[in-house]
Amino acid sequence: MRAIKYMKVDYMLTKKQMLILPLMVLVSVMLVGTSRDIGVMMGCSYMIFVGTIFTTAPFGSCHIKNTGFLLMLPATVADRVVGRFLYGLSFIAMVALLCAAGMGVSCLFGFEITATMMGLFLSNLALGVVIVALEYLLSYMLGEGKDNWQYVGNLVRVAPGMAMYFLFMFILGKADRETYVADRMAFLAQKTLYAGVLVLAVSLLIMAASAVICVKVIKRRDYV
Amino acid sequence: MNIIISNQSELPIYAQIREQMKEQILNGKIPVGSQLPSIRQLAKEVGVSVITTTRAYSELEAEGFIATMQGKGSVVLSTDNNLLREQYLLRIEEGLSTAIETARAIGMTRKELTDIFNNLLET
Amino acid sequence: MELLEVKNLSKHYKAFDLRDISFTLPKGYIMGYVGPNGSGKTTTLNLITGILKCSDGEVYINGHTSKEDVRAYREQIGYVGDESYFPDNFTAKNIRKVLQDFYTTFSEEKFNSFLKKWNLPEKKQVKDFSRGMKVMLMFASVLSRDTKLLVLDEATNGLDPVMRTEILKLLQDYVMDGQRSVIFSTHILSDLEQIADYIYFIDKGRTILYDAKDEIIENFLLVKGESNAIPPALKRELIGLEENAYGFEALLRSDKAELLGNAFLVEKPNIDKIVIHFIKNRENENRI
Repeated sequence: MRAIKYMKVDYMLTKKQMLILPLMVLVSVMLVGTSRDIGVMMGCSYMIFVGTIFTTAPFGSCHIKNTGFLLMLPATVADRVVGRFLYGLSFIAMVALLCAAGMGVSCLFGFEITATMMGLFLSNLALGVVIVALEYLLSYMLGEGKDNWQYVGNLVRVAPGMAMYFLFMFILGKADRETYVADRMAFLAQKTLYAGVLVLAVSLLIMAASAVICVKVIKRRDYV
Repeated sequence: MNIIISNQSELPIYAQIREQMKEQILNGKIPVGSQLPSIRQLAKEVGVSVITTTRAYSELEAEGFIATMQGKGSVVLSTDNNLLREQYLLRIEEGLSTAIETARAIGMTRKELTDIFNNLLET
Repeated sequence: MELLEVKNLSKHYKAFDLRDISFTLPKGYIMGYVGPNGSGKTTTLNLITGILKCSDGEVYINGHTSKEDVRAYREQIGYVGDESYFPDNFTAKNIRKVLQDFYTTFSEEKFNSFLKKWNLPEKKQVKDFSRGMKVMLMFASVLSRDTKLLVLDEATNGLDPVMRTEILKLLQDYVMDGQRSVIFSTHILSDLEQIADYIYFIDKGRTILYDAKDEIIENFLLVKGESNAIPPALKRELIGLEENAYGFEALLRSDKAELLGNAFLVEKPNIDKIVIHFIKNRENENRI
């Protein structure tokens, strides 16, 4: 259960960014208003993008010199790494909940969330999880808190998420025009939804695999 | 009890502690039968290492000034015994030999030297 | 009973080699780990805390290695470095929370009393602390739990004399019950030298001297005098001969004292002088 304690430490390390989280939510809400049909989805996509950046924040939050305290705590490497992954997962889960809440609210205002849209949202979420899993792996391989990471880090943290965001903007734009066609073919819509759930499950497996590899990477390196 | 450590002294620190305690036992400043601070306590108060203090204590014990009992700490032994008288004698001899050496160095006669000695005794 | 046992500890880097460090530190004693900058002091201490992995050898604390149970091993160690190892944006309050979460023996009461005693603010971020405050916060965090070994890496560097004296007393208090030990590294030996029971001296990753401090000091003499008065038989034995226009200074093993005659000034060396002349000796040999 020390992994959960490490997760709490990660929230402590990144508490400053929690303060700007509401601002990000506000931006997402504003995006909702830009398009009648896919607005909510655009907002959600933006939140997932923000999520991928925020979840990697503990890596850049302090220099290796200033992590000695955390590295020396009475816990195993696995405790620490799993803690970091729990932080990432819990943050993504929070983003997903915020999105769900957003969708709920928009339904009250008469928007319609189609199965296709839902499938796309889950795929987007899954891609977000995979990006986080890969970024964590990369961070541990480069050595968290190392000097080189400080510079490369920011680019790595933002670029994949941003690419994902634009990709889904593009897909959503396309889907918007075809969504009614697709939804009329209920069979296809169901497929998209199932595919979304499946992709999300696979992404969580990738996340777990990444955690296992990260523990191995640290165990093999020179310092804990 | 007073222990003053000098870094300028040629005497090693354990010897400084030993000599100063011996001095104070001999002149009665540390009364017979009194309990001495523990080695670790003294080490901390004086700001020297435990090994240094241990050595001072064990040498005092070997010379018969103190006795250490397991678990009870160290106590000062009686100064009435011959051992201490010997210590005093040794000191007197030391003092006199320095005086004689100095006198020889400047070619003083036996008569002149004993005169000084006798005069000092009178005062 | 040995509290800390270091056996043939080695660490190989491309440009630096720490080789075969071996010593024992019994319960209730203090060891000074000395050497010039870059001699491998920090590497050794990092190997002892287990933050760094050794290439060879073993470290035992109370008979156990970190491989057996890393959590139990780390609970026993209190480490203070020469720079703050806390995340910059942490406050004393955050640190207290983490300590409480992770360490079974942490005492909140003790921690708070240290904060109060040393005037450390609870809500200020560590990065805004002065150097002295950072050091004291590190001490507060390790002394507020029940550790068996204090590992101090140049912890008193750059502190004012008042603080150094305070730390000195803290360390002596720490070993007072005869159950706990301290190992500290330093390259400036002054007040700390006084309280060390043992000295381990390394240079370029190699052991130069290791013994009880009093023994080391007694085993050497500091010799000064006129350079041209040194007989060849003596010159061979002098360690780290340092000559200037007006005379020389060197170290000599006490058992070689008969070579001296009475042409020279002989003093009791301190550890600093011993270190300086051994380094000088290495430099002299390199020149030849």
